[in-house]
Amino acid sequence: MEFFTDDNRNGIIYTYDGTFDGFLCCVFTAYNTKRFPSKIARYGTFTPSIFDRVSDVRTDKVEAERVYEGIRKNISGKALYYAYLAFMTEREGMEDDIFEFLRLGFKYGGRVLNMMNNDAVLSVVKLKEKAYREADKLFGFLRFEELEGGIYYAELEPDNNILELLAKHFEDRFPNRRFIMCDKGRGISAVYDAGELTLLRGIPENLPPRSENEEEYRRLWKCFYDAVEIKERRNPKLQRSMMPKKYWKYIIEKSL
Amino acid sequence: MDALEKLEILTDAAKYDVSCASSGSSRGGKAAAERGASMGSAMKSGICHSFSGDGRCISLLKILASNCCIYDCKYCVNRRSNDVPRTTFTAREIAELTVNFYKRNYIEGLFLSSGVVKNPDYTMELICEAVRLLREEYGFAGYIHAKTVPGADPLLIKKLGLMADRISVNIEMPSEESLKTFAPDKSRNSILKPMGQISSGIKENRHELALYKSAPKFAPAGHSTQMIIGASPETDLRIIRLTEGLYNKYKLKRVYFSAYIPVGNHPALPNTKPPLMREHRLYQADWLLRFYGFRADEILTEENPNFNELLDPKCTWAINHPELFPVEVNRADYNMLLRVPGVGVRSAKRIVSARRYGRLDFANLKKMGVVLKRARYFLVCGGKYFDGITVDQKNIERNMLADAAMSPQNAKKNSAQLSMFDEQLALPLNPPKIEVVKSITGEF
Ligand code: SF4
Repeated sequence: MEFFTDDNRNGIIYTYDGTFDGFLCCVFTAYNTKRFPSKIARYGTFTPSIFDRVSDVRTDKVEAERVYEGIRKNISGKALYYAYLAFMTEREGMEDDIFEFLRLGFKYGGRVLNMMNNDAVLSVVKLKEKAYREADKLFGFLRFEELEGGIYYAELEPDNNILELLAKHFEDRFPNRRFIMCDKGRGISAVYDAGELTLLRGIPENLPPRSENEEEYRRLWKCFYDAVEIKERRNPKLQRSMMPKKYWKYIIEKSL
Repeated sequence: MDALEKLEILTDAAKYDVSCASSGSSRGGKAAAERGASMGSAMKSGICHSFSGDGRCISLLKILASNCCIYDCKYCVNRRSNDVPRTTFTAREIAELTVNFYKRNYIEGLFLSSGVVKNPDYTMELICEAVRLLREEYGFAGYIHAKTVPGADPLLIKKLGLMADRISVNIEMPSEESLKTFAPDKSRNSILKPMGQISSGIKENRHELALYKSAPKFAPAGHSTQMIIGASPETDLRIIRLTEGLYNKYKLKRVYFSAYIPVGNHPALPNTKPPLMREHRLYQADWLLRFYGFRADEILTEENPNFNELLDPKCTWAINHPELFPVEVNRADYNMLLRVPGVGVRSAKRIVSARRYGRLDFANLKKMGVVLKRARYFLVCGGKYFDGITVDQKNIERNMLADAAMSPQNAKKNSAQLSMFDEQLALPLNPPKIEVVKSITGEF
């Protein structure tokens, strides 16, 4: 099937800072200059050959905002969500698929999500599922510990950049609480306090000690976890396929 | 007895109940907080928080309020005549445990059941009190599934249903005869009556809610039931007919099957390994009933009333209906696509939406998640079989059995829990449950 009748790619390569806003600015620049890139990549992840023309795209909040709203209005909120989550997989080359997905979206509207036999669309749908699948696991596998002063603290190391998505889930679940979630791998933290969620670069130091009851509840939970297994149905392989080992480090009943 | 010991006993006694689903309720935490709750939300599709060594999902704190029981069901560890240590939680202990586990994100909520202490009403009151404490005193808006006790006052069932997300009654045995043999203190009526009450309660409530948005909700996540299989002599056909009947008559959300684990003491009870493969096949058939438009009598017949251990029920059905195949991917309607082995709900939907934009070939199908290993015998694209293979109807079964035999561990490793997994995969594409936030990554 041919979707590329109005292709005006011209061999230019856009580089950007690796943020979602930065990527949206690449989209902005492409439409603003009517010069569609042949590739979009974050700075430093790729070495251009002498024939490539490279253009560094600056991240501008206002431009990003316009594209963000433009996608929501002219394609759909769902398409925006797909683009956002697919982006968070950080998979090499995903920018090009998302760009193509958005280009088709601007042309055909919300229908783009049905165009499953287009490779870029299918790729975005699959990437979105990949990121969501991990988020869905971590909604469950993430563990908070209670610190003195009523702060709840969690550490994780997800494959996808889903800290923000996870933090939104817990913000909704515990709106009256203070919590800190750290993506140790990426060195970023989500802090929720007084009804405000903020993402910060860095991992907090000098945390308060664990609360008085914390050890007791960990022990109780471990006790429950061991007792609930039906020994006659033991199936460690199934267990590992449902709860991959890479997550165990932060799952207290598996690491105690 | 200290808290650890108590928890161990009452978990151990509860673990044979299979249902651990936290699905079916959708409740935004912020919205709940505005109505006075202090914490908690519920996700429509449920969340697994951990997996135990048997590979089963742990979603809820699954405990008994008490493992004391005045009854003597032969298949049950908690039966009166069994010599085990007994203990009972207070309502406060249950609430404290639930809330503290929930705050740490160990669980989605509580699944509370109980042996019959003193009498059914006394037990139901204990369950109700624990749930009331959680909802009213602790402001807990997480998921609660509570079991009703056969023989309890209908008013108590009503009260419980207004506080819990899901309430349920176990059907226990696949037939009335088996119930008589193994659970002499329970009657068919003592089970079906409350089930009927819950079912009509839910129906009326949906009606009320349609009229008054603020009407109190009765079991918003619906009700479910479970039966033990392999303890009694019923055929698979009988079991899935019963299952179908339960779905139709009582509008259950789920029927769970629990492979009998030899803990009983009746001479007629088997003393063998739990029939996990059979349980797995039943779940697959249950799937066909709920999502694939099959009827029980299509899946099994009086001549072949039991499942094939080696082939799943959908393959078996397809092999027995050569007149309907092959199916042309570019034309077949959605319902027929669903019946093709190797095509799931999600891939069928993808096929239907994608083919509007052009003809599909096998490479497209593969990318859409069709399992060609199975589907290739039943599908054609533009009139051609996969890879130009010639399909001889007579050989399909032999080939499929050979495929199955090549991966024997496949069948085993996937038993039982796979059905939970399938459920997630079979759901429609996840809608954006979480409002997309303006990316704040730029603020670093
Ligand atoms: S009523 Fe029967 S099934 Fe329930 S706990 Fe008592 S003995 Fe077990």
